[in-house]
This record gives sequence, C-alpha cells and structure tokens, in this order.
Amino acid sequence: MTKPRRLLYSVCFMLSIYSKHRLSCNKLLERYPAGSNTFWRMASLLFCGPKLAACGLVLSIWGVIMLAMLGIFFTTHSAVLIEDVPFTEKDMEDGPTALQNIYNLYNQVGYNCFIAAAIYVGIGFLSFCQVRLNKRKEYLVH
Amino acid sequence: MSSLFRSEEMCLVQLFFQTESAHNCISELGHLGLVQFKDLNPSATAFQRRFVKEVKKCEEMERILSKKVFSTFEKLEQELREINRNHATLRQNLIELMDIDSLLRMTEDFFEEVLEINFSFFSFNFIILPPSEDSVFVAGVIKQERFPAFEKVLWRLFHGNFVLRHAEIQATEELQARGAVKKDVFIIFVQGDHVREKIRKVCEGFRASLYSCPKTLYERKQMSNSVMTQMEDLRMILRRTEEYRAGVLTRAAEHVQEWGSKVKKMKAIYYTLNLCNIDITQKLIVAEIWCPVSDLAVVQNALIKGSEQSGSSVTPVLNRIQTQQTPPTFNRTNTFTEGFQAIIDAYGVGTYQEINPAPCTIVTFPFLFAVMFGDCGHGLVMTLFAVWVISQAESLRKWKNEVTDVVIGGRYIILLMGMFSIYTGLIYNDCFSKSFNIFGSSWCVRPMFHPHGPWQNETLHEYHHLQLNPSVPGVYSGDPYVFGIDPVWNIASNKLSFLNSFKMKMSVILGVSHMLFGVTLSLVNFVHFRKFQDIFLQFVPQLIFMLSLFGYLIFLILYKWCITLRSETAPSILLLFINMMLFDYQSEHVLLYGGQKGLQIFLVLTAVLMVPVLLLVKPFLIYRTRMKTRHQVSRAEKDNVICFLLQVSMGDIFVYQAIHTVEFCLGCISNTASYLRLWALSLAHAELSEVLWRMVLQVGLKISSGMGSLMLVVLFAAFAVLTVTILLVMEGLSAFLHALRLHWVEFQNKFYEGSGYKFTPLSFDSLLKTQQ
Repeated sequence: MTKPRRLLYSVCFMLSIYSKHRLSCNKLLERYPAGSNTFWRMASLLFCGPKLAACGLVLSIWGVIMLAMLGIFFTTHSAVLIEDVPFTEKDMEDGPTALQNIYNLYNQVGYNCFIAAAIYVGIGFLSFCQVRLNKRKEYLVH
Repeated sequence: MSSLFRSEEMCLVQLFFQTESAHNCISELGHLGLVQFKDLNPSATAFQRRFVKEVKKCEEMERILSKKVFSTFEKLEQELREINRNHATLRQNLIELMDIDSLLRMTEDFFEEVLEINFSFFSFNFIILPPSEDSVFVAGVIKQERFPAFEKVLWRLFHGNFVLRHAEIQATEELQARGAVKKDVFIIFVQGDHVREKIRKVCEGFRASLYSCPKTLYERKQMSNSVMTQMEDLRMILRRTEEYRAGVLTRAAEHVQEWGSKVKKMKAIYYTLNLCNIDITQKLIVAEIWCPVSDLAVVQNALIKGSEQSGSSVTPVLNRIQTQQTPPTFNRTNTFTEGFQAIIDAYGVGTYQEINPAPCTIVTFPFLFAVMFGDCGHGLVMTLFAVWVISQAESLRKWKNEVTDVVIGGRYIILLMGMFSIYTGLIYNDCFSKSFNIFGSSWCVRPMFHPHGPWQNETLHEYHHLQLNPSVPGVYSGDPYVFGIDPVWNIASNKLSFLNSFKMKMSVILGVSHMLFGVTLSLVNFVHFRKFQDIFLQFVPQLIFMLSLFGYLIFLILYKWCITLRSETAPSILLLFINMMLFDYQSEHVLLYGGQKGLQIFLVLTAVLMVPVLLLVKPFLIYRTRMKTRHQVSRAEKDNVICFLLQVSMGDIFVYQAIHTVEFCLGCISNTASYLRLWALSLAHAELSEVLWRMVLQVGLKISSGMGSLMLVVLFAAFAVLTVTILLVMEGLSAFLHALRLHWVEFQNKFYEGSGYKFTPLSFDSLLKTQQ
C-alpha cells in the first residue's frame, strides 16, 4: 500500500474511534442532563469558549470546501496550478515517463489536499460539539 | 415617483390646537415621526420658555427614577441578603448530610474488618469473646490536615488500646463547587464506657464533628436512605431559591426600562411645546411644522385622534402657509436604501429638491468598489458574511459596540459589494490569485514547436523564458476567451504588463463615463429648477469640453483595442494624446487612422473655445440685464434702495465664474487621473493575494511527503486568518474609502450642491433607539 493511502486509512481509523467516544459521551449526557446537578459533569470536556468554537467551525467549513476543491483540481492535472507542484529538473528530463512523473506529483499533492480536508472534517466536528456544549452551559446558567 | 430621485416636497403648516389636547396631539405626532417642529421662539433662552418648569420636572423625574431604581435596588438588596443567608445555612446542612452519607458508606468496610478481626480472634484463640457491650465505637469527620495530630493525641491517651480507622472523603465536584475543604472520616473502637467522655473532649478540641452511627447493618441502611432523601430535598430547595432570586431581579429590570422610556417621551413632548407659541387667551397653542406634502392627510388624522383621546371637543386646525424659507431635505428611505443615503449625507445633505445621487450610488458605489477589489473568492466570503449579518441583525444589535453598529448599518452595502466583487472577480479571472479555465483557453503552446513554429527541443534547454507568438498559426485561436481574462495569463511571466495596460485604460473609461453621467445630472437639475439659461451657458460648454478631449480619449482606447496592429509599431495612446494637445505632428509619428490629424486639431480648438464661453458669457449677460433694469429704475427714487440691496457686485460674479471654470477645466484632467486609483488598488489587491498564496499555502502544497497534509492543515489556517484580516478587512476598508472619495469628490462636484439641512422629525422610535 502506498504511503499516503496508509496514512489516510490510519487517520480514518482514529477518527472512527474518536467519534465512538464522543457518541458514548453524548449518550451519558442525555441520561444525566446537566440541569439536575448530578455528580457527573460534562463541563470537563469543554475547553474553549463560544467565540473560539464558532471561529473553529467556520474555519473548518471553509477548509473542507476549499481543500476538497483544490484536491479535485490537482487530481485532474489543472495547468494553472503548475507552480504549486514540487517538480524538479530531473522530472522534466526527456524520457518516456516524463509526463507520467509530473502527473504522479500532481496526484500526490491532490491526495495531500484530500487528507487535509478530512482532518478539517474532524476539527469541524470537534468545534461543532464545543459549540453545542457551550450553548448547553449557557442554557444552564440562564 | 419623482421623489425617488430628489427630496420630497415639503410644506410649512400652522397647527392650532387646544392646550388640554396638546399633550396627546404631540404624542400622536411623535409616534408618527413625520413632522419637524419649527422653533417659534428663537430669541427666548432656555429659561424663558413657557414649559421650562415642566421640562425641569421631567428631568427631576428622571433623577427620581434613578433614585427609585436605587430604592428598589435597596429593597432588592435586603431581600437578596436574606436569601443568601438562607442559602448559606442550607448549604451547610447539605455539606453535613453529605459527610454523614460518606461516613455511613465508609463505615461499612470498617465494620466488616472488625467482624473479621473478632472472628479470627474467635477462631484462633478459642476464647469466647463476644463483641462486648462495653466496647465503644465513635465515628466522625475531621479536617484532613488535623488528622495526624488527632491520631497522636489518641495514642497518648489510650496507649494503643484502640483501633482507629480513617479514610479520605472523595472530593466530588459538587463539594468542590460548594467550597468544602478536604475531610477525613474516622472511626475509633475502644474498650470501656467511661472513655466516651474523654474522646468527646478530644474531638471537640480538634473541632471534629461526631455523628451517632447505628450498630446494626439494617439501621445503618435506614439512616443512609433517610440521609439521601434529605439531601435531595435540600438540593431542590437550593435550586428553587436560586430561581426565585433570578426571577425577582429580572422583573425589577423590566419595570425600570418601562418607566425610563415613558419619562423620555414626556420630556420630548415638553421640549416640543417649548418651541410653540401660546396665544393670549392661554387656551390655544400655535405650532409651525415642516411636513411632507404627501403626508398631510396622515398628520391630520393623527391630530384628530390625539384630540379625541384628550376628550376635547375642538379638532385641531391645519393651515398650510407659503414661505420663502428653504424647507429641510427629506429623502424617504427603507432599510435597504438607508445605508446608501447615509454615506451620501455624510458629505453634505442635498439642497432642497436637488437631484439625489443616492439611487445611482446603490449601483455605482459597489461597482467601483468591486473594480478595486476584484476577486471572486474574497467576494464570496464577503457576501456570505453579509448574508449572515443580515439574518442576525436584531440579535447582533444587542452587542452595542461601535464597530458592530457600523457593520450592521452597512450590511446591505457589504452584501452588494460582495456580489459585485464576485462579478468583477470573474472578469479578472481571479479567485484567491488563481484563474478558472471554464471555457478553454484561446492560446495553445504546441503549434510553437516544429514543424509549425520556430521552437526545437534545444530551444527549451537554452532559454528560460519563451514567448508565444500569436502570428504563428494555431497559437492564438482567433476567438478571445468567452468571459473575462484568458486563464493563460495567470501562468505567464509578463502577466503584469498586459493587465496593467488593460486596467489603466479601463479605469480611464470608467472614470470619464462616471463624470459624464455627473454632468448629465446637472442638466436634470437645471430643468427642474427652470434655469434654462444655465443649460446653454454651463451644461452645453462643459459637455462639449469633456467630450472633445476625454470622450475622444475613450474613442482612441476603444479603437486601438478593436483594430489589428503590429505590437512593434503600435503608437502609444498617451503619446498620441500629448502630441494632440501640443499640436505636434511630425512625419515619423505613426497615426492610428486616416484623417486623425485634422480631427484632432478641430477637437482641441473646440475645447479651447469653450473656455471663454464658460468664463465670460454668463457674467456678461448678468451685467447687461443689470444695466437694463438700472435704466428703468433710475426714474423712481425709492427703488434705488431695492436696487442696492439686490446688487451683488459684478466683481464677485466674475470671480465666482472664473473659479467655477478653472475648477471644471483643470478638474477634468486631475479627476480623470484620479480615477487611475481603480487600477492601482486592483493591482495591489491582486499582488497581495498572490504573495499570500505563494508564501503561505504553496509552502504546504510543495511538501510531497506524508507530513504535507499536516503542514497543509496548519498553513491553511494561517492562510485563512491572513486572508480575512489583510485582504478582506484592510483592503476592503481601503477600497471602500477610495470608492467613497471618488463619489464624493470626482462625481458629485459636477452637479451636487449639498447645502441643505436634514429633516429631523419628532420621532419617539429614534429617540428611544439612540438613548439605548
């Protein structure tokens, strides 16, 4: 398996474990709703304020959309993005595989963009949970 | 419909109403928000006004209100203090109960241990040693830090004939929240009955609290249950107390706001009454108001309603009067046009019934902004931000920050700026400094190679920069890119040479068009005010001057764009223009078309001829009419006085006209050059955008290993933050300011007088809004 693919799979695996943990936490949250002063407090999972969480959410949405589109443009070998592809003199030498080398480099950068977009999906989910927790805490105080 | 483009027609109306109904009538008018009261006692100072006592009373009331607020708060404070005291005692009880609860749980283990010891004792020694009745045990809670000293004292007292067990109470979060300290549970087993007193004394000394612990398991379970129920009850009581406290506070706050607004309205009414006249019989109040003609019926209805409410039998009388005074300028706006009207009024409120530039500004301002901003990615972010602000406008108003107020006031302006920026971004083909290739580029590289073109394989190795030659067949398809700039320019290294030329010419075209539009608006003003003479003395010469010089410049630009030229021999438009003004026609100069020399000489002479027309004709005509009237008037003596009064000196008229002419003619050139800022800011924005991409995001993209994606995540966050702060906020503000300046100075000095005063009606809504 190629290196980027391995990395992609490992990231997806970690994300699934993390999401399972979050789901179980949310189930506990429903059973012990914070409004009844029980010993179990979900506030320990809250680590940023409402504004930071909202900024994180907006940034993640922008990141997902823009990096996904960049990934698509790189994997379709768009000519306008030629300066962002890290090719060297060696790749441009005359030979049967010169064009294929450049295409492979394009694909690599494209996969990097897709992985970064996936990471932003995770960050976005995290920010969304923080926003919800902040709203719940605000609700409790009022 | 004409009121859309100029201010409303206003009329001066006299109101007569009875003193009893004054309050109600003015209250109704205040709710309506359509009339402006004129000050009928301008010479009276603040102390001489009729209702000065009432105004003072209102101010007193405001102070009393704040005092009442104080007294209410004092009462509230006492109540709150009691609530807090009860709260504290309840909390103390809760903590005690929690201690008992933990004690009961911990002693389970101890008793098991003791039973085991007894049992082992039993089994190993075969001595029947029943758990004697005189073996005493004492259980209690002590602060953790005091425990070691406590243990030592017990040792000295009982010389080791005791069993002491202790355990820490688990500090739950609830306990920590309620501010308890760390405590330990302990239990002592001793022989002998008399030692109970001693232990009690020791525990008192260490301030440990003793609790009676039942011996049997069943009793302990019962006690545990009862303690649990007590704790739940206490918790509920505490919660109810907190809710009650919150409710009391919010109710008080509501009342205060209500009283406050009522007092403000009354103060406004009395202030208005001060502006009116009371007639001799003290029964009638006379007021003069400015009111839009189209709203007279509404005002009448409001007055009738007010007088009915006060129960007076006489309906108020409206009497429209003619006047020479200039009415205030009233432009009817809705939520959308409010922002644009505000930015026009910030420079100068229009003269009464002059043409209002605001409706045109709704389109031209965002467009000129977008020409300087020109990036569809940034435009999209701006549009989404504006949509969010528009949808959340009411809840954002509560923040009461200066900056947020400005943003909320201009939310529709920002929306339009964003939408226009997307459009110009598509024309410049620029999205976060990259181009889209939607329709297929018109340029092709392959035909430059052998056998069609001059390039060989060796050419690629020798040269770093190669130029595509459009005259080689196949390189340029002949049809330009369908919409916008061809995407091939994004990766060309001479991109800036091409784009600069394009943007500069476009700026000049836009600028001259904008200014011609301004001159045309002055024609509309002349027609409305019936100054037909000025049409021929001012509008026509100005138009001819502008068209013959700058209109011809636009023609040259468009003509040169349309014809096919060889780039080595193409004449520069700037040089052509300079030579035209200097009448410099040498044979080696290349001209664009036949007959150019003749046409240019004609145009320059025409323009030069317009200058004395503008400068001299109008003052001369005024002089002639004055001479004529003076001949007629000199027969009558008393008219000399009138003549003298009406005469502005001829010198002033000439000077005024000279200033106006020079301002226009020189202003034409300087204002056209001023529009080049459209090019300059657009270039700055494009370059900043490209630098940001190359120095921030490209670093992450060029790492091809696995770490590249993580770097990309971090660098994208930096890219986003910098885009928003530098490119959106800073460049956005800059482009906003420059577009505004172009409107205020270069556009409006062609037609706008701006010497009116704003219509400020009595309106309770705006009063309460500003006070908040």
